[in-house]
Amino acid sequence: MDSIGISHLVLQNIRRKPYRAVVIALCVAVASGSLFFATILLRGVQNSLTVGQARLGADIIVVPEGHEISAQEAFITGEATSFMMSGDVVMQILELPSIEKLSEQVFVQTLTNASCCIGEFFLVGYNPDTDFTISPWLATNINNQEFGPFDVIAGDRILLRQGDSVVFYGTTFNILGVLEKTGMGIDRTIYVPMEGLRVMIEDSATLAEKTLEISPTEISSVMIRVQKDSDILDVAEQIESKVQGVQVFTASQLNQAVGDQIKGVTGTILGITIVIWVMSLFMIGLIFSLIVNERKRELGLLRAMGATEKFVFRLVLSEASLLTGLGGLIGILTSGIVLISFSRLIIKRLGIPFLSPNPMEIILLTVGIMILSLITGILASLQPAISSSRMEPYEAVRQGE
Amino acid sequence: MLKKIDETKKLGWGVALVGLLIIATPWLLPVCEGLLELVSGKTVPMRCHWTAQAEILLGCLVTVVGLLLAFSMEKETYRKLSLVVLVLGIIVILTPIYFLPTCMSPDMACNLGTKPALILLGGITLLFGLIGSRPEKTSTQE
Amino acid sequence: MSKKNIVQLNNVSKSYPQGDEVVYAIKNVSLEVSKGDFVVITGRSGSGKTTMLSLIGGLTNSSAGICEVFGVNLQDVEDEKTSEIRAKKIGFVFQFSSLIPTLSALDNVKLPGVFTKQPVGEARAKELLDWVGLEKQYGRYSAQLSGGQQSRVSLARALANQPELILADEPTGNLDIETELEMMELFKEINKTKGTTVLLVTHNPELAKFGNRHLVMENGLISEKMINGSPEAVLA
Repeated sequence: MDSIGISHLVLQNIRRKPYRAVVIALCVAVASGSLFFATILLRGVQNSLTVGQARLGADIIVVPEGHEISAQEAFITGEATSFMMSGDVVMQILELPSIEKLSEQVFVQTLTNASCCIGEFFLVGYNPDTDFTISPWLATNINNQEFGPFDVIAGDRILLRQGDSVVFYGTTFNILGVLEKTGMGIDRTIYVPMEGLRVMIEDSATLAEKTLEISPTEISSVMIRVQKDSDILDVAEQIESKVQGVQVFTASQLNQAVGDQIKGVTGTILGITIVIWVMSLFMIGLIFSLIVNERKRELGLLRAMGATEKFVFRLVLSEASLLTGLGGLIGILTSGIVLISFSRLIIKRLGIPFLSPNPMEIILLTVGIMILSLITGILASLQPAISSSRMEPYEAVRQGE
Repeated sequence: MLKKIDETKKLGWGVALVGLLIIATPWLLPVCEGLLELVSGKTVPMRCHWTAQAEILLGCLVTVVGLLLAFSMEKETYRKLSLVVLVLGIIVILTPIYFLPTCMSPDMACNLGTKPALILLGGITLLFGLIGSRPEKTSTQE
Repeated sequence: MSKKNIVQLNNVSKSYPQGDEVVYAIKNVSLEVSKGDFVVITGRSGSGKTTMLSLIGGLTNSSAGICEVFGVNLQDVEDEKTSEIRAKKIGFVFQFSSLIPTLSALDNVKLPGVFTKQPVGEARAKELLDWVGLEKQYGRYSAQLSGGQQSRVSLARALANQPELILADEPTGNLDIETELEMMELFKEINKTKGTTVLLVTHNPELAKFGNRHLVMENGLISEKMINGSPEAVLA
C-alpha cells in the first residue's frame, strides 16, 4: 500500500477497540437479523396462503361437528387426520339455494411406516365426477390423459414422483403427477380417486395389518363453491342451521386462523426488533460520544495536519456506519443461514404454511435492511460527528497535554 | 508473536465449544424416536439413531482437538491440529448426508432439526480449521 | 516589505471569559515573520506562546486584530481555506506524542498526503524517516517508540507535504538534553538547506541560539531580543 486514505484511518480505529466494535456490530446484527427473520416468515405465510387459497378453489368447507380445528390443521399443514359423517349431508346441502358446485372428500390417515420410513401420509379420496378443487390442476398437468381409479396425485412434499408406485393398506397406487408447491397442507396430501379409495378400504381387512373402519357411505368433508352473486357467509350460515351435525368454515376463515397465528409470532419478533433497534441507536450514540471524546486530541491533530471539518465529520460517520452496516450484513446472513437450515423445523413447530418469497423480494428486503442499518449508524453518530467536527482544533490538541 | 499465541488460544476454545455443541445436538434437537419392527419381529432403532451416535463421538473428537489447539505452543503442531479440525468438520457434515444418512422422509424429526444443525456446526468446525491452517502471513515491515 | 512576510500579526489579542472577568492570553501583539526566518519564542508557561502559535496556524481565532498568514487574513476565510493552508503550507510539531496511535510510523508520515490530495508515497515517507534517523522503525506504533523517536516521527510528518512554514510547540519539551540538541539540529538543518521558515516555541531560553531571531513572551506581551547585533525589534 503506497498511500493511505480515510478508509485506512477508519479501519485502524475499529481495530483499536475490537470488543467495542463487536458490541456495536452485534447490536445491529440482532436487530437486523430478527427483522429479516420475521419479515421472511410473514411474507412466506402470506405467499403460501395466496397460492394455497387459489389452489383450494372452494369457498366453503363442511366437516363433521367438533372437527373444525383438525380439519383446518389438515388444510394448513397437512397434518393427517380422519373423521367421518354421513354421506346424506351432500343431498341436504344440494337442496339449498346458491350452491354452484359441490364435491365430497374422504380423509384417511396412513400408518407411520406404511412402507418403511416414509412417515405419515394424508390420503384424500375425491370424486372425479364432481371435483372442482383438484381436477383443474390435474388437467393442466397431465394433458387430459385418461386415468384409472388407482392413479393418484401427490403433493410436492410427498417424496414420490411421477411414475412411482406406492402401497397403502395393501393396495398399490401409481403416482400420476405431482402438484406444484404451495407450502400448505396440499403439499403433504395424496389425492386418490374415490373408487380406488373405497377399494383400498374394503381390501384393508384382508391385505393390511390394520383394517380401516370406514363405511362406503361415509364422507369426511364437502367442498362447496357458491354462485357468483351470493354471499358466502349467508350460505355458510344456512348450511350450519339446516344440516344437522356439521360445522362449516370458509376459505377466508382458514386464512384468518393462519393470519392470527402468524401475527402473534411475527408481532412479538417485530416488537422486540423495534425495541432492540431503538436501544442500539441510543447505545451506539453514547459509545460514539465517548469515542470522539477519547480521540479529541487525535482529531485535533488531524485538523492541524490540514483535515477539514468535513473530513472529521466523515471520519466519524464512516466508522459508525461501517460498523452498523457490517452488523446488518452479519444479522441478515446469520438469519438467512438459520432460515435455510431450520425453516422446515420452524414451520412445523409454529404450525404455519410457508412458501418462500421470491428471490427478488428477498433481495429487496436485504437491501432495505442494509440501508436501515447504515442509517442507524449515521443517525447514532450524527451528534458526536457534528460536535467533533465543530470543535476548535486548538482546544482539541491541548486535550491530555 | 504474543498476539499470535493469543489467537490460537481463542480458536482452540472456539473449536472445543463447537465440539460440545455437536455432542449436545442430539439432545437439543433429537433424532426420530420410536423403533422399527422388522418382518422377523425384532425391533431396531431407526437409522438416524446411528447418525446421532456417530456425531456424539465426532463431537468428542472435535472437543479434544480443540483443547489440544488451545494449549498447543508450537506453530507446526498448531497447523497440523487445525488440519485435523478441518477434516473433522468435513466428516461431521458428511455423516448425516452420506456416511450414516438420516431417515428418508424430509418431514421427520432427524431431518428437520438434527441434520441441519449438524451440517451447520460441521461448517463452523470446517471454517475454524481453515482459519487455523491458513498459510502464515509474512510481515513486510519491521 | 510586508509582501515578503509569511506571517503578519497586527495588534492581535486573544481573550476568553473567566467568571466575570476577561482574561487575555495574548494582548495587542504585532509580529512579522519573513521567509527563511528561524524564530525562537521563549517564555514561561502561560505566557501565551502556544496561543500565538495556534493563531498563526489557524487552529484558533483571534478576538481582535488582524492575523495574516501567507497573505490570507485567517479571520475572513472559511474552514476549507484555513485547512488548505495548513495542509499545503504549514507543518505542525507538538509537544508529547502527536502521533496517531493506530497508525505505524510510516503511515503517520504518509498521513498529511490525505489532506492535500497529493499522496505522500512510500519512498518519500521512508526517506523522511531515514533523515530523522529512524531507518529501522517504519512499522512501529507510537506505543513502541521512545519519546525522542516519537518527536522525530512528528518532525518527519510535519515535513511530508514540503511546507513553507514549520510551527513547533515545545517540540523538545519532554526529551533529555542530548536528544533535545539532536532535534534542534534537525530544525536548523531544515531551515538552512530548504529555507523553510521555522517558528519554535520553548520554555528553554538556551535554545534561542539555534534561531536567527529570539522573541520573548511574558503575560501575553511580546518583545524581541537582539541576536548577533541585528535588531529587528517589533514591540508590543
